[in-house]
Amino acid sequence: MKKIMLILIILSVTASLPCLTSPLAAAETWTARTGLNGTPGLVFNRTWDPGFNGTAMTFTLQHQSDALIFEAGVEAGYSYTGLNLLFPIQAGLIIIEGKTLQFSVTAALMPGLIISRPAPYFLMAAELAARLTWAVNPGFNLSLSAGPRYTTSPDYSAAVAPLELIDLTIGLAAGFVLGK
Amino acid sequence: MKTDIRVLKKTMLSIMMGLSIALITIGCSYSTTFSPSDIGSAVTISETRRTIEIKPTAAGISSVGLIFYPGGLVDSHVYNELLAQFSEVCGIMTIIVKMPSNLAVLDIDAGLSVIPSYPEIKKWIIAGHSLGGSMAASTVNTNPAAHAGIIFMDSYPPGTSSLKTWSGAVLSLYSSIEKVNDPERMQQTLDLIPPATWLTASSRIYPAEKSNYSVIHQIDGGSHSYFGTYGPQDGDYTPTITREAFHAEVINYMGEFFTENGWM
Repeated sequence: MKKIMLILIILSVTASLPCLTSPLAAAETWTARTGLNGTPGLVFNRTWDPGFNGTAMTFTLQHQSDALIFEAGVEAGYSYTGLNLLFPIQAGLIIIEGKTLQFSVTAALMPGLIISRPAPYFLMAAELAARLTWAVNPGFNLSLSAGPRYTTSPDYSAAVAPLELIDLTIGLAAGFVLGK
Repeated sequence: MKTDIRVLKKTMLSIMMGLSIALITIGCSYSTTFSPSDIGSAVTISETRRTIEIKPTAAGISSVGLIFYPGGLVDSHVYNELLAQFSEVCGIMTIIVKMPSNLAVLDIDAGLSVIPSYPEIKKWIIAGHSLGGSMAASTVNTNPAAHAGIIFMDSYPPGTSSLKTWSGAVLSLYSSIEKVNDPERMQQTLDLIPPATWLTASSRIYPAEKSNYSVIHQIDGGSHSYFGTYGPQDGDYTPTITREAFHAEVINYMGEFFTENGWM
């Protein structure tokens, strides 16, 4: 699991490196995205354990610069540990750009919290996803994404019970282009 | 058209942000106040995404099993300590069902999906704490043949799920004198469960006919959160006995309930 986590982190950092080295292009777009994620589970505590894990609402701000996508925001949802709050930081590459369709791959690191009383537990997730975006009109788009997500909480594991998950995240989102 | 899109944007964003804030505000669950190492080695605890299985390690496990629904917004692991002691003492396999967002109301019949995984268990008793008990009553109401008995822990059936004519056995454990002394609530409860007999330390007489009956016991000095290892919960009472003493009394009455019904 730690190896998978490490690979996801490396991929995430690698994906974000080009933005540090390439000059910003003229084709820049800001988009506010809001959507729903469903997470069918695959692995629970290193054991194959398929089953629905939870649902989450997302609200992110996306910046697209040429073929690069950067995105950050908040994801609030539930699982069988209760309510989870994640803060995804995402970088992606546009692989195919058509007139109305766009295909991209993204890598995300998501620090967050299992919200509990009297104190929350620190939570960390990493995700790789493929995303298909359809521009309904110049100001509005819809996107469908899917990809594996690794989630762990060392705090919760130490205090309550081991917690390591691999889920398949399926997301549906609406994007509102804020400006170019 | 542009105005419409702007309005749509603002509305959708407002709804999503509002729902997120509402979720965060109301969805905060209570976490455990025990260490997993506090659980003794006389039981084996294994866990999946949906359940926590507590299995006595001693040979000769009963063919009767207990399904447990946690209270609302309470981490399902807070019941490990009580139910591990119960499993150890009574030799009963116990399955705690994890609920979506720790709310049993979101998956009332979750316990039914557990049953096929344990073909060796021939008879199932269902129990629940607080909201979990109410939802357990709902699943019994709609699937009366699936369970032989139900145990309420500071809980009662919702008005829409009367068990008055159900052929099973009911044990109702109350933690606090305030709830028992609320005549309106108690009358509502009595109207929704089979004919009841009160059990006290000096009078623990069960009905001769072991069907369509209830027994009720009040545990003096306990608090609502004492059924688990969390809290204190908002609005909870100040306990005047220790959690260990409270758990011992709960297990004592649960064990007697199982014995009286011939389940162990």
